[in-house]
Amino acid sequence: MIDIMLSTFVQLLTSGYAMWMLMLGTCIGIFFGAVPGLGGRLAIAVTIPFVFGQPVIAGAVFLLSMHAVTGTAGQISSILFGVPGTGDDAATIVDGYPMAKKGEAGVALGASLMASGIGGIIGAVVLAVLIPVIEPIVLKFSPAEFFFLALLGITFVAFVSGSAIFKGLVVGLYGMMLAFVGMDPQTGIARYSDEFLFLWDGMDLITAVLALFAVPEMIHLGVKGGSISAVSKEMAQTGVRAQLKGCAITFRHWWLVLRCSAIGAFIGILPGLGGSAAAWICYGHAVQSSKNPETFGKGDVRGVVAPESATNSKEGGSLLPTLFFGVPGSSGMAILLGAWLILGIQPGPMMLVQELDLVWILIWALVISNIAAVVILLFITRWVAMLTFLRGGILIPVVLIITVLGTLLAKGQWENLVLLGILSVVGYGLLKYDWPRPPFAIGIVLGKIAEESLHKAWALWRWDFFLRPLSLILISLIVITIAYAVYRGFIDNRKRSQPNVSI
Amino acid sequence: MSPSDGRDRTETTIVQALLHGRTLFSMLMFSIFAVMVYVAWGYSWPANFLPFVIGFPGMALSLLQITIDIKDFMSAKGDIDPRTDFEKYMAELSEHTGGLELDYAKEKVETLVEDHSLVAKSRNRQELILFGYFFFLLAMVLFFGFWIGAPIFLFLFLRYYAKESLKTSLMITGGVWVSMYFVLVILLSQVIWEGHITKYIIDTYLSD
Repeated sequence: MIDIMLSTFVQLLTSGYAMWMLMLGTCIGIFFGAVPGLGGRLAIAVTIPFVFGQPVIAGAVFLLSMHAVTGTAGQISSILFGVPGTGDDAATIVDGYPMAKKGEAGVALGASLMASGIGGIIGAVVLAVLIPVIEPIVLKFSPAEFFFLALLGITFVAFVSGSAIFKGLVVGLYGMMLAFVGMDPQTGIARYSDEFLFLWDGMDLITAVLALFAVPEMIHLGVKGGSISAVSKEMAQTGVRAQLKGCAITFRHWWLVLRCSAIGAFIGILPGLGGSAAAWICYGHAVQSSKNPETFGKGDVRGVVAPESATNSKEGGSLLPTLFFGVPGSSGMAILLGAWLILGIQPGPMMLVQELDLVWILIWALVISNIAAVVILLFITRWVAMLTFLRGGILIPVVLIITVLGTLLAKGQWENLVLLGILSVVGYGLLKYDWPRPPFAIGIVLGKIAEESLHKAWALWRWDFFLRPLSLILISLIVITIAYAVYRGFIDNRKRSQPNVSI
Repeated sequence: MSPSDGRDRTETTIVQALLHGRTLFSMLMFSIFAVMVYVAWGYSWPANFLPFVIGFPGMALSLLQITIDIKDFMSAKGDIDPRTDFEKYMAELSEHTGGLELDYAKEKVETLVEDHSLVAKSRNRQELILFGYFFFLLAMVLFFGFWIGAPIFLFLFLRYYAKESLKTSLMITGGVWVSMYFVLVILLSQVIWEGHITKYIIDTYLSD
C-alpha cells in the first residue's frame, strides 16, 4: 500500500502534462467558484467536451481538481458581499459577512481559505484510510447488489430534496427514464429513438446536463438581474497580511477544523447529501459545541472555519461511493462520474483491483489542488473578488455560447442542439417551479448502471437475485428510506399548513 | 350566497389551480412519464421492464404532486405567503442557526427585496426574451454554423439586451471569437459544425 501511495505521488508530480492539467483545472475551478451563479457542476458540464481525447489520467485529474476547488473560491463573495458563490457557501455568510463589515474581511478570508484547504486534505486522507476498510465489502458486491445500490442512490435523492420529496423522486426517475433512451443492450430494440439515429447510442449525457443545469441558470441569472455591482468595490480590498493572520487563527481552532472535516467527509460518503447539508450541519455543530454561542452570527471566525472545512472535506468522502460503487455521492459527483465514463474510466469495485494507481493519483490530485488553490488565492483574492462584479449581461451570452459549443463538441451531432433546446425548457421549468435538479444528474447516470446490473443479475440468478442476503439488506434500506422520506414529507406539509408565526 | 354559487366558485378555483403554471408543469412531468410508458408498451420484454418499473412510480408520484399543487393553490398557501421577503429570509436563516439573532441581515435583505421587486414586474417578459435569444443562438448555429452564428448572437445580445456600448460589444465579441478560434482550431484542431446553409453554400458554390 505504501509503495503504491508513494509511487503514484511521484508519478503525478513528475508528469508535466498531468500537473499542467491539474493547475489549469484549479484555476478554472477558482473562476467558476468565484463568480456567483456558476459553480462546480456547471464547470464540469461545460468543460467535459474539452477533455475528449486527453490522456485518461490528465483528463480525470483536470476535472477533479476543478470540481474540488470551486468551494474554496466560492467563499470570497460570501464573505465580502454576503452573496454565496455556490449553494454550499451560504453557511459561510452568517459569520463571514459580519466579519467583513467589522473590517476583518482579510482575517475571515484567510481563515476560510486555510480551513478549506485543510478540509480538502482531510477529506482525501479519510478516503485513503477507508480504502483498505471497504475493499473486502466492495468486492463482495455482485451485479444484483449494484442494481439495488443504484435504486438506493435514487431513493437517497429524497433527502436532498428538502420538503419537495415527491418532486425530488420524480426528477430522479425522470433522469433514469432518459437513461433508457437508445438501443436496448439485450434485445437490440431502439427505445424512444426509432429513426433518430443520433439517439441510438443513448441520450448524450453532456447535452442533458447542460440543458438542465447551465441554460436554466443563465436564464435565471438574466431574469433576476444578475448583478451585485451595487456593493462597494472598496470592500473587496484585502491585504495578504490580514489573510495570513486568518490562516494562523485557523490553527488555533484545529480541533474544530478536524471534527468538522471528519463530519464533512462522512456526510460526503452518504449518497444524496450535498455540501450544503455538510456546511449547515457543521455550523450547527460549531454553535452547539461552543461555550459562548451568542457570538455566532455576529462575526465569529469559528462560524467561518466550521462550514468551510466541511464543504471541502465532503469531496473526498463523496469520491468513495462514486469510485468504488459507481453511485455518485452528490449531483456534482454524478456529472463527474458521467465525465469519467466518457473518458473511459469505469468506476466500480474493479477500480480497487485494476485501477488502484488511478485511485491514488486522484487522491493526490485532491490534496495538491486544495493546497494550490489556497496558495493561489492567498495572493490573488483581491483580483478574484473583482470577478464578482462581472455583469450578468456579459456572462450570460458567453456561457450560453460555451454551452452550445460543449453540445457540439460532445458528439459532433447537430441534432443535439435541438435536444438542448427542448430539455432546456424542461430544465428551466424545474428551476422556476422549485423542482430540485440534482436528482436528475444522479438518475441519468444511475439509470444505465441499474439496467446493466439488472441484466447481468437476471442472467446469473433469475428471480433469486432478490433473495441474496446483501440484496435483502439493500431492499430493506430502500424501503426504510422511502418510508422515512414520505413520513418527513407529511410532517413538513403539516408544518406548512399551520399558520405562520411572525419572528 | 346560494349553494350553487359556492359550488361554482369552487369549480372556478379548481380550474384556476389546474391552469396555474406550477400545476401545469407537474402535469407536463406526468405526461412525459405517461408517454414513455405508453411507448414502452410496444417493446418486448426485457426492453420494457425498467421503463415500466421506473415509469409507473413516476406517473404515480407526478399525480401526487399535482394534487399537492392544487391543494396548495386552493388553500392559497402555495403562492401567497403572508410573510414579507425579509421575514421569510430571516426564518430560513433562523432554522439553520438555531434562532440566532442576525443583526446585519436586515440591511442585506432590504437591498435584495428592493432589487427583486424591480425585476419581478417584468419576470415573464424577461424569460421570453432570454429564451428568444437562446433559441436564436441555436437557430443561427444550426443554419450558419458556430463560427458565424455565435459571434452574431453575442454581439446582438451585448448591444441590445445588455445595452453595452458599440465599442464594448465589438471588443468582447471579437475577443471571445479570436480566443475560441485560437484554442479550438489552432491549438486543438477541432472541426465544429459549419451549419446547414453555410455547408450548402460551400458545397454548391465554393467547392471544386
